[in-house]
Amino acid sequence: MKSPSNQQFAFTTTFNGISNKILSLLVVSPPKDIPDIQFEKKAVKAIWDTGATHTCISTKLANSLHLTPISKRETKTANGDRLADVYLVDLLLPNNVQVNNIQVTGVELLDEVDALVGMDIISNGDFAISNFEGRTAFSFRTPSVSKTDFVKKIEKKNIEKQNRMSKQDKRMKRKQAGISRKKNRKKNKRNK
Amino acid sequence: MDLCYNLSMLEKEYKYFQDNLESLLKEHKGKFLIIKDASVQGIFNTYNEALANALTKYKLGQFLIQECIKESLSTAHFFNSNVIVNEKSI
Repeated sequence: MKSPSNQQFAFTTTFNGISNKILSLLVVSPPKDIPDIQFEKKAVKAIWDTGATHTCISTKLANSLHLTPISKRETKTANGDRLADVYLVDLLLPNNVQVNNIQVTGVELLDEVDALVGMDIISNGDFAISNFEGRTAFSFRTPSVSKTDFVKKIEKKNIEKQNRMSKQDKRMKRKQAGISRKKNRKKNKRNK
Repeated sequence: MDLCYNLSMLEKEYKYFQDNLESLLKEHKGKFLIIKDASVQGIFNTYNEALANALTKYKLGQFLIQECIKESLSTAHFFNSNVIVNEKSI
């Protein structure tokens, strides 16, 4: 994945409601650096799939773009092992996030999508899915910038909460102590 | 059709690669091979080097670039979800 001059790239997609698939648009285009490979670029729907080790496109798309394979590869799918063609392409993700000269495998996919974005792309950056207020949102940035650790965040919040509680407790105790000191002083005065 | 011709030719090249993998592994393990006309035409350290070299000599679809490795669970491509295979087309 190219990030010229250490520039960061990112995009966020928010769905209307909870989504059970992480979908985004993806433009498959000929590799800019290799003029020998030419075909019409095409925008397709892609699923971001952590179960796929590599990014792949549908054989239907490969055929419609008249892609020529450069390599072949054994693939392991839910339905068994298959020999598949490998193509070299550039991929354009939303918000101008570019992946250049990537090898994609041609496999049979469900009709609704023409590509799976696999771990070869996902592992080049930070990838997050949230479902806050009933709306699925996913965000991707490259290169990776920081580690996301919900456990640490929760621990930090819990510690902050505990600190707030103990401060409140102390305040209450001080207040109570102040009241009892006042009472004692009054008692002492009365006794005198 | 040209495309069909190219694909069938590449299958022939791949068969050569698979049939000779054991001997190729002994000499070129981990290298990227240009395979054309059922023989190794070039040996390179990277995929990009092999591709650039192949394209100076041959047209796209006339050669295959294969990494000289034995496929294993760690090197195979997995597409566990969303992949369907139409048995009739195989």
